[in-house]
Amino acid sequence: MKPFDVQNGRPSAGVQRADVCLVLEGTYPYVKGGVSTWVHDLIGSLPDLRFALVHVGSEWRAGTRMRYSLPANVVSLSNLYCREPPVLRRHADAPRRHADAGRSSRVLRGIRRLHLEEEIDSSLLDDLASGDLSPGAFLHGRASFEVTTELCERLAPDASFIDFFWHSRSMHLPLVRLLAAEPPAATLYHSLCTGYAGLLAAVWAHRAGRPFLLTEHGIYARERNLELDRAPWLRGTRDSRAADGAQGMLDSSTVSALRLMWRRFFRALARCAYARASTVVSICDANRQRQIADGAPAGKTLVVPNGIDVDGLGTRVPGPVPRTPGRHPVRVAFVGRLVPIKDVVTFIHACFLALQAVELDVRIIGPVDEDPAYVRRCRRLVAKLGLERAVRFEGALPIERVYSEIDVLVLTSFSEGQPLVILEAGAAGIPVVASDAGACRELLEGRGNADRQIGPSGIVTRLAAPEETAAAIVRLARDPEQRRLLGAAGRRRVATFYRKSVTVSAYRALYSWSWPESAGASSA
Amino acid sequence: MAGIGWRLERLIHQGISGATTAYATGATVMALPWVLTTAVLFSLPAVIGRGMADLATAGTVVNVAYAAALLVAGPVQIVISRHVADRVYEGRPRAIAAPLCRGLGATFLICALPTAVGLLALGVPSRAAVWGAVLSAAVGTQWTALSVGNGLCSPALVLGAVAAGSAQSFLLAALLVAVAGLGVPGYLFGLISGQTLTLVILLVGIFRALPEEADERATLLPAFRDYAALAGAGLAFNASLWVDKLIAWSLVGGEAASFHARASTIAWFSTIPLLAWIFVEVETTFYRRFRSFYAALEGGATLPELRSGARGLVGEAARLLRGAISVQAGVTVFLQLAADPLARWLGLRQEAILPYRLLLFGAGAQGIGLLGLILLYYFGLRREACLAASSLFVAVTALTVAASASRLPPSVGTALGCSIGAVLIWRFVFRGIRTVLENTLLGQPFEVGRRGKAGSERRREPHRRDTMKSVAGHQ
Repeated sequence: MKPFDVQNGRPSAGVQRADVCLVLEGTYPYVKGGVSTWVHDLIGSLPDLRFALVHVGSEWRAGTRMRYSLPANVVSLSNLYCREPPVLRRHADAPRRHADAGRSSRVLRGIRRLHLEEEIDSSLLDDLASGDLSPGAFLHGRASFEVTTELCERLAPDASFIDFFWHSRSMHLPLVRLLAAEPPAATLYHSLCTGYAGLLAAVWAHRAGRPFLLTEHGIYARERNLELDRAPWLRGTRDSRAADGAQGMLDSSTVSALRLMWRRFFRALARCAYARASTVVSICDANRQRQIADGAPAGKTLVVPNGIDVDGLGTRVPGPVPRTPGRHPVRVAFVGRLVPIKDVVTFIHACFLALQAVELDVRIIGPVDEDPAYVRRCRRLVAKLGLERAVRFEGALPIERVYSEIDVLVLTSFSEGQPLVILEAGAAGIPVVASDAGACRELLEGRGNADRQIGPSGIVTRLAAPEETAAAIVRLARDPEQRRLLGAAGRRRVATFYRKSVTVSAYRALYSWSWPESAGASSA
Repeated sequence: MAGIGWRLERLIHQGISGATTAYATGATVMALPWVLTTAVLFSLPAVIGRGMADLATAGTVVNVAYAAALLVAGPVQIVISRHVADRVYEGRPRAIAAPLCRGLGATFLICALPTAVGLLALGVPSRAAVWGAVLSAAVGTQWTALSVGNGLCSPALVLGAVAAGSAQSFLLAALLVAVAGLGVPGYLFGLISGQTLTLVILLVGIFRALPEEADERATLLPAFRDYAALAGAGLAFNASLWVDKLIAWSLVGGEAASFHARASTIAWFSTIPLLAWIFVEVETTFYRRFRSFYAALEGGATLPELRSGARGLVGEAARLLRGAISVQAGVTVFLQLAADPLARWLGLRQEAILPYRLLLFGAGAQGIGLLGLILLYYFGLRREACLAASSLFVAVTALTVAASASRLPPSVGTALGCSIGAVLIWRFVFRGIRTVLENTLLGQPFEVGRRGKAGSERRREPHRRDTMKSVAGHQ
């Protein structure tokens, strides 16, 4: 069955009703990564269910090259964009056309409530689900301007209004666009994060009276908070330039007010998704606790750890190739997307420090096309630290090559769910040094008693602590026996607790609970 | 245009002679086209000689040439001057020269062609039609250059260009007719050469103010789309200056229409001090207040600060209105008191005095309305400007028709129409300025400007402010 490409929420005729509508934000099938691979594997492992995919992308011209070939049970793929193509015509008459539009818009009321009210109830979702506000009315309507000024008065009275205005537009326009989109018909809506995609799935499920399943690998709202702390557009520089060409500066009260507004907004989106979800799944207990702290009802939460195909991986990846001590430097690798949240910069700094003590062969392995600016920054740092000979950027490599060529895996992410690379490294018997993000500690030190008895399979460090990471690398580089013991523990742990078949069964059960009467019927 | 403001302020601070130059520049820029038109038309019989057989032809040629230049080039010069002001504001002076040259070329053609066609349709000999076409083209192009030059060149250069051109027009015309005996062709050649001299001086000044390198790819066409409403406003306002005379001719005819036309023409001279005052005030005090509001907006002012700034702009508009009314009231009172001796001095008949008195009010109201339109232009309220100017045109037309049909002097309707039109224009002005913050921000497009993840979207790259423009060439 060929998947349909449905652009911008206008479904083509003849698309089959799906069993599960997966609402994805910035991941599968256009971005390589752990979540995307997880989605691909899940769909492929449930061939009897029909999946409709909705990809929420940042903008129309961003990457639309598929990085995965869609399994046959995907019945449709819709692309929704937060930002639309530029309209070449000037908008001179837009304010007039939209002046009174949205005067009594329920979506506008919902947006207002997202910011000003703590309570998330059914009427808020009703308002958002109405989808009665067009992007034009939002951008150019007086009612929308009134809401913006009210929000400014109440949330950021001392902030620069022009910056508040543009941030408000940037924040809400994607929401308005997405809420106006038509959902694919599905028995159940499943989102892989909160944020815009999570709210959209919640609203669609609410509108259709269907169940909504929420799975979070990382904690979206917290990841956005980390991004906000580091976002250059919130670091004091204004996009606009003054008439004299000088770059404007954001004052500190504006920066903090805007940051707070974005935080509250992402938190409100998450709370909407938590409130509507029938089950809120996380992949480790640490994340489950965070979800509860962020407003998820504890009774709805559930931990379903990720698993990998241990047997398949075992045949493809024999494990680290033994190297003659003293003749070959220990090969240390970062494996993952080169994006800020992975904090590759800390990894590079750690390697620089470790290289003062031991000889290392450092590899940075993973896709480099998602954030070219960040990749450039990493390359510049390597050059600045004089590490060109010791550190190599390999790009994406096949899994067989990755784990047969490295001795130690290092992961320095700020935020993680349950990183697949740690499971893969464990299955390949490779020790890991990882920051204490998401489920990393569970994966390396064990979750329950039985798990802990296996022993550690790596070393856990603090976030953004290059000295600690360097010390762990040096320790493992100098002690081949410890590397072997940690690798063996990892192998046992993954084989015992993190099998893909367990994860797939759990999701089949979750889907089945949501529609017991129809789960198997549609697959016939 | 923004550049002239500080020059005017510097002149004003130099004392009486500087202030006189500043206000003279204002009068030149604001009133020169129609003053010159009137002077040419009035001087025609004197220069050519009342007894000459081709006086009627010369009158028709000059009338049609100036009317076409005023009506056709008026909207074009608004667009071109705004385009130039945009580029100056954006700091892209290299993108001015090429579109300006193309615009002037286009003005030349669009003035010449309708004039030639019109004259031929009126049965004017083809040789005279060619002279008329060239005159119209020279006048229209020169006015367009004037509207651009007043922002880019020094007031002295603008005044000098106009003075030199005017002097050459009259002297050469008189010389060629009286001494060389060349008749109408000589007269028209003299006029054309003077207009061309002004044009050349202005172009030299303009191109000296621009960088040597020019961006040949810069286009003018988008400005015509962007400023179509402003061009429409210019056309409607210009039409409102002429329509009452046409109505009087067609509905009343005879001497009454003639009295109305003469009275109207003379009454309009009463607005010259007002127009000079408007030019100086708008380009100095108002522009400073206007600019500081937008500088505050762009510079990160808080919402209460911006609201206070918007209230300040409303206050500034009210101050301008009060000032304009005071200036015009002073001139009008003086001219009302001096109406009888003035009429005798100008050779107006007794029957023309009442229309003259009424039309003094009408002209004053139109001048005040023009100030309102300029403010609407400033704030980028193009649609409102077009509506306001159209309201003025409709009011003048309707009430002049009504008065003429009711056997009242047409000037009663014209004066009433101008007053009502001015009130309507100022309603648009105050309504627009009260919501200046809203209008400015809601008019901004929001487009794809850069790559970014969902959730980290930001505003598009520098949002062009459409509002910080000056008025030039509104007449």
